[in-house]
Amino acid sequence: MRVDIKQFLADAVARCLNRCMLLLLPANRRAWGHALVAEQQEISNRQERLAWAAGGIAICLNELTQRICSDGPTWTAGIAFGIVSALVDLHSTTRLAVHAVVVVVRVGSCVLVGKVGMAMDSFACIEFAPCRTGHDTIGAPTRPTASTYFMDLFRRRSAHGLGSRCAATRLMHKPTDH
Amino acid sequence: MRMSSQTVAVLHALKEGGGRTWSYGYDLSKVTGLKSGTLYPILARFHDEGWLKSKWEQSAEPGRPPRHLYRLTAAGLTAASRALETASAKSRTQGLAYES
Repeated sequence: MRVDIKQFLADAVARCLNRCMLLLLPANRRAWGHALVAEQQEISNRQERLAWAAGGIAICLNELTQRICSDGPTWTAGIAFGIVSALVDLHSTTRLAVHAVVVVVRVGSCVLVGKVGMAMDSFACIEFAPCRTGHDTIGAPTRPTASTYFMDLFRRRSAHGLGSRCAATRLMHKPTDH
Repeated sequence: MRMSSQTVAVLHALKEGGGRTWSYGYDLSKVTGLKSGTLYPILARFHDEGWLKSKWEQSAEPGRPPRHLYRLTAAGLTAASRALETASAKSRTQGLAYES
């Protein structure tokens, strides 16, 4: 039996693209992904089938872009606060932080703002502050509440008993065991 | 909803046959010349607006997944008529402007 390598590879790539698309698509759009995959079975032309499968990835990117744009205030607040926390260090005499990098990560419905510090006494530490955005699914009307980030931060500050010091800055500098 | 030329093309394709016939995604793609990455977000938007009715149909060939079919609702038909009128009026205006 002779195997058509090109056909085999095209099918493998299409299957991979389909899996990626179904994995990346939000729950409320997954049925559309399944519809796209089902239609793919009707396409006999190899290149056309691959192009059809690649369209699924374009849909995912489109959804992602819409999600980021609809959640703009939260992203802006998170990034702004991250930059401030990276630049200001109340522990140093100059009040300016050095050797620090801000990290902003989106996980589910949370924006995590963190700072990677490379101080002399601590090797490296990452601390994240959660920020609830108040929505679960893509497509649903979003009410991003950037202020919840600060509310969370203040709650953490009072929980840690950090007084009037900048909570984020203090959290970045955990004392190391000597 | 923003009526791009692609959106109007999909509405036009769905409206053919009086909006009473069910259409497959791939057929719509062939009629409109749109790729899947453009077509499906438009269909999803129509569905969200309540303009599109969809159903799953078992494939005649065994082992193949069920296919999704689409049809315009009454609200979709009204919106399609309005959108197509606007689009044709716009093209007429542009044509006149070009001639003058």
